[in-house]
Amino acid sequence: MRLLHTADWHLGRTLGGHSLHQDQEFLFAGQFLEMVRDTKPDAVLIAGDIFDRAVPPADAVELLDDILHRLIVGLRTPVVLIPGNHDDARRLAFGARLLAGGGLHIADSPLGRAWTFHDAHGPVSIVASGYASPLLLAQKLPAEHHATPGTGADQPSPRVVADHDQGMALLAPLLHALCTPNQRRVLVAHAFVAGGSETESERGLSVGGTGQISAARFAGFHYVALGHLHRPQSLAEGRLRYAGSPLAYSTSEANQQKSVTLVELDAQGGVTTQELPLTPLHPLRILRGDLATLLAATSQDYLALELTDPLPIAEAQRRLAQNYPRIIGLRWVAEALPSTATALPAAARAASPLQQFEAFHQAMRGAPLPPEARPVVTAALTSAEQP
Amino acid sequence: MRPLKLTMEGFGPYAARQELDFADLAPHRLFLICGPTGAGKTTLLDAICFALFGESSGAERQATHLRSLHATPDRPTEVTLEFHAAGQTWLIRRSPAWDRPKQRGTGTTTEGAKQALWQPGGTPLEKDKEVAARIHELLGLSAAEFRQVVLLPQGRFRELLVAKPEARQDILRTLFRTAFYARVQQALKDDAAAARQARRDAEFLLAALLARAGASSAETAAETRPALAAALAAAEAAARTATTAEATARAAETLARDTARRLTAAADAAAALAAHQAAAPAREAERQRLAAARRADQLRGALQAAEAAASQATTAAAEATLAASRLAAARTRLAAAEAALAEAPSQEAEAARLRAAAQRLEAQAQQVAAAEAATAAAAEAMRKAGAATDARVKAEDTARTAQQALTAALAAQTTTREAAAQAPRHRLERDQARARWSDLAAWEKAGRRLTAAEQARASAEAGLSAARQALAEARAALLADQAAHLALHLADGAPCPVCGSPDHPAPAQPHHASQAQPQHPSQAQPQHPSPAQPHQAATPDPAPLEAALEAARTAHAAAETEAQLAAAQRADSAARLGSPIPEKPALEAEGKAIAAALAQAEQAAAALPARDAAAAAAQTALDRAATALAAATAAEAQAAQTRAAAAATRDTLAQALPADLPPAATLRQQAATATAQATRLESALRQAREERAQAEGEARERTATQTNTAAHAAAAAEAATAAATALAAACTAAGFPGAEAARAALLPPAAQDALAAALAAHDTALAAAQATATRTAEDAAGLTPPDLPALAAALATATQARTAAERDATLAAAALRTHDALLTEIATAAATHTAAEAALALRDDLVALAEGRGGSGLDFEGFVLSGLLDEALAAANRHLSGMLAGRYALQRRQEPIRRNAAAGLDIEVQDRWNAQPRPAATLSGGEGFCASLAMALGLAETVAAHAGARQLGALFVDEGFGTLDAETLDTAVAVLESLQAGDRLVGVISHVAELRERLPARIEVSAGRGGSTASIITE
Repeated sequence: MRLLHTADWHLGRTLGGHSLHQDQEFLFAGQFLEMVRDTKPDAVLIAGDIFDRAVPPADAVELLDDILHRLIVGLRTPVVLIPGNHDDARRLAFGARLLAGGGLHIADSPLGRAWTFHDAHGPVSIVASGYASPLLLAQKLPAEHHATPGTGADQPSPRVVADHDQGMALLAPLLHALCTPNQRRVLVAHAFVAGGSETESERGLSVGGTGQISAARFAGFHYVALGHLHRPQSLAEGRLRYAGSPLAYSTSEANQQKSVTLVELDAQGGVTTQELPLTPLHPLRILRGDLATLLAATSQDYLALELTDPLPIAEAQRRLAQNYPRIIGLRWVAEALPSTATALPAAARAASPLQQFEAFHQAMRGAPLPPEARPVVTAALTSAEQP
Repeated sequence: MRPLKLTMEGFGPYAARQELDFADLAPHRLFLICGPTGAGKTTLLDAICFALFGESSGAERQATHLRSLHATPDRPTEVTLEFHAAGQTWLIRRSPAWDRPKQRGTGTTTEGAKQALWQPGGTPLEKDKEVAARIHELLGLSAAEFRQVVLLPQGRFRELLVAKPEARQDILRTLFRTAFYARVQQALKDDAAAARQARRDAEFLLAALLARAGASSAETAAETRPALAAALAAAEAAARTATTAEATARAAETLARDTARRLTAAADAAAALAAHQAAAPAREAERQRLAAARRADQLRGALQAAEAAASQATTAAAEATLAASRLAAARTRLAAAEAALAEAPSQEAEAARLRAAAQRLEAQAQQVAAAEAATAAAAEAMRKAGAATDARVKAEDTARTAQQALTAALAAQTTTREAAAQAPRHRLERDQARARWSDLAAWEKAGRRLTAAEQARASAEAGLSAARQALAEARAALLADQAAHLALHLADGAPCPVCGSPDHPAPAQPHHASQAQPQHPSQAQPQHPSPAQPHQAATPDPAPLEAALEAARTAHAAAETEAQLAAAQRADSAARLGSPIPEKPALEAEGKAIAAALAQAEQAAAALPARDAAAAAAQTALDRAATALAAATAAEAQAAQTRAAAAATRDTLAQALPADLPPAATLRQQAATATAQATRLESALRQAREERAQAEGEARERTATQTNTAAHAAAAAEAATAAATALAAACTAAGFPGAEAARAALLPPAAQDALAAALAAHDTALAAAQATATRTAEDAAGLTPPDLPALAAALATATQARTAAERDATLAAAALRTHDALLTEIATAAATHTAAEAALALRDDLVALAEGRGGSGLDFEGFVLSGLLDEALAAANRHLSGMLAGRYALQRRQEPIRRNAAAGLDIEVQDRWNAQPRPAATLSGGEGFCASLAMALGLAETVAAHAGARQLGALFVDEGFGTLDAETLDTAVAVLESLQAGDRLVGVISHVAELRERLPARIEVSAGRGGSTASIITE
């Protein structure tokens, strides 16, 4: 079976104040559809973060509608779609039950939906599980039943899911149960699997705590199509894979080759993957040089500029903006960044009032406090201490 | 400070009691407070601020306006906050002053503001000042600081960014408590004022001193000194001369005085001697006196003896007289006692008689008493017998009633049991009826089925006959057609395959030629959707018709079978039902009746246990009553017996008594009186006898005494006489005329000694006077009296002159000293003045420095504040560098905007991309929000670090997110999420929809008709 795996489209996102709509449209309506047409997969898997916000802008919704229409009706390729942590699961799952008959399979529950696809070797179960926070998962999972000692009656007790890892541990058996036994099975999920590397553009899944899931939770699936991390990468010898975002969304992705993944699943469930590279309309680059050199050139790309001039120059950004309309960041290399240490320097707090007055004198008069003034100042300080 | 639980009642738009437990937000530290406009979102922050400080979160809402308009008039407005501070849990409750309806009368009375702060299980602090002080201690912040640092109210934190420097200094001063530095400035100013005063004083002093010296300056004053010194020297020389003259005069005078003295002494001595000699005769008289006294001393002993004897005699005589009189008294007493006893015997007899009477009366009384007791016992027994009879009657009644009850209970039990026994029978009937009902239904169903089956059979028959007909026709047609078919191929001369005849006079015509549309036999069967078979030329084919016939036959047979089955079933049901077939309504009614009967029987069965119990109880009651009756009867018999016995006793006793006896009590009384009288008589006799015995004894004693004393008196008289005689003899011997004279000559020894001494002294003095007179006469020989007054006058004059000269010298010395002292003072004062000038200059300089005059205009407090502001800005920049792609940084402006304006506290924003500073007011709404938020966070961290680093466990941001675009909103939320580290609770008030999606934990505030409600939602 041949599958095309992509994720993290983030339709409606802005970068440095510039809307990425045009770039996204260029990519999806162009190269992406071409790839689908050329490779003729049995299904397209989109592993979450379809939109960048819970309530996306209208033209993002329109773009998705257009792409899906052209994929499903035009190229007759079914699509499996899950909500990620940026999407609102309920809004994205509008019409899921109606659309399933037409070839668009949306996972409207984190407990998973499974559909059976057929290839030459037999049926394949594709299970799709939408992203859910541990709290939401605790609500959705069926309640545990404990037999109360003494009465013998079953008491349902509310679930407590401590973190994403435990959530997936509880969820995995339910997902397996949706598939027919002894069938090849593919999971589409949106999560942070331990061992993957982040970029700067992912939104954290949990504050304080990593929100990471260990790869062992996904045992039993022949292929796991993952979304959330924006760098394309494979884990567990290619069985778990992040397709990565089709566009670069932060400076840390500046030199990454973006791609979609073509997956071949053979009769025994073995997996081979191939990256199909994508070329953006306006790549994201880091550009370094002094002001004069940079002003000599021009570019439409999304640029993070690093200026090597020894001192900051006035009006630098305004002048560069004429040559580079898509500046997303600017930095003077020689300038020290403000430290991110959170502790205040202790010296500032420890100065005694007399020392402060001496510093004051020094700052105002340019000379240290004369010794005959010291007793006067000390007396004034003492009398001021008694309110 | 971390809020744990907030409870509000009647506060702002919240009328009903709202309880918000922040623990319900559980793992989420960042939460949203959302709700429609005016529902009461900011009021939650007001509540927290009010609970802690008694003020609202912004200054616009007065504390008195906080009472809810929806609140019921008799419920107070109250806010309770449970919070965690300094490692402990505290609760604080506060209610503002409010008008309460009076409990008595109409109108309202004002109830004052109340507050209470306590730890769970501890005593509450209730005074306003105590609570405020403790809150200040726990939180480390005042209300203004709290508002700036923990609650960031609507639109207010931007004002720090755009305020004028003076206003910013005010705000920062409150936050960082730099009033101390203002006080330092003030202290320096005071010090300078004091120094100025000191200098002025020094000036005055110097001027005064110079005036005193009569000079205009110190140098001029020094010039007058030499003249004074010379004057002093002259005066001292004059003094010395005068002293010498005086000494001479004195010597002359002394000599003259000595001469005069000698002459006087001689004259005095002679006079003294003459005096002594004149006093000689007196001395002689005294000498004689002394001798007489000495003689009388010798007689002293005899005199004393005579006196002693005389007194003894007197005493003895007196004693004898006294003894005699006492004896007479004792004799009189004895006589009286004897007289009293004369009557003794008759009285004894009387006493005995009385005793006997008393005994007799006593016996009678006992008898009477016994008779009375017996009467009383008899009456009592009668009463008891009557009571026993009553009891028995009652017991009989009870037994009777119990018997009746038992009978009734048994009857009821029997009826119920019978009814219950019916139940199985009814059940059986019910089952039967049900069976019949189902049979009837089956019969009807069978009937229907039969009808249907017959219909089917009829149609099957029809179909069969039709099929037969068709087949026959088809066969006929086939035959006919065959004939025609054969006929077609007939050729004249060829033999017919059928009959062999070569002639064919009338060949058969195709059967179908007469028909307009040939009916193909295959169309007797139902149509198949398979492709049409090629149409056979005019040859009907009987095979399908045969098949059809078979089918029809089969159908018919099936229908027949079906009909038979149905008939059989029906018959079966009918047999079970019996004849006649019952009607449905009748069966129904029957069923209902049976059900009713069954219900009744079951009810009875249910009631049966109760009836059983009742019967048993009645039985028990009856048994009890019977026992009681037996007991009562026995008691009655007993009582009757007792009564009879008592009556008998009474009668016996009454007979034994004589009639007309008074009651026992009276008798007893009489006996007692008699006894008392007897006792009295006996005791009187006894007493009289004793008296007589005592009187006898006394008389005896006194007789003896009287005899002794008389003898004694006689002896003493004799002795006295003897002594007197002896004395007279001794006196005569000593040369005295009589004892009187001897006594008169006595003198005490001291007087004698004194007299002797005086005589001796006079003798000595005489001798001495003689000697002196001799000596002085020798001294004064040949001297002449001097002229003393003249010499004395000369001496006095010389002394006067000396004194005057000395005085002048002293004055001159004093003047010189004074002048020297003055010069020293002037020098000191001048030095002091110079020092005071220097000190004043120093202090004025320090004041000018501290107040920021003449320079950058930054005073000391401002300088410290600018340092703190730098810290705050550094902290703010740490946050701001993560927002807006690190484009902006906050910094302090170095030059003032206007000249002469206070500098150093202006904030401007550095656009790092353009290396240009911009005033903070020029930022756009969203950029301004990020800068203000970073500023507020930096300020909060700095204040917390300087205010003793009391951990601020909570932070609230009120509105402002509406100005941000989606990307900036994302980073702002990321910044707020990062604040949750360190277990800090971060609350955000906003109506922006995107935040509702991002923040799963919410407090939803909804407005209703009766006030708003707030509830916590997590998903």
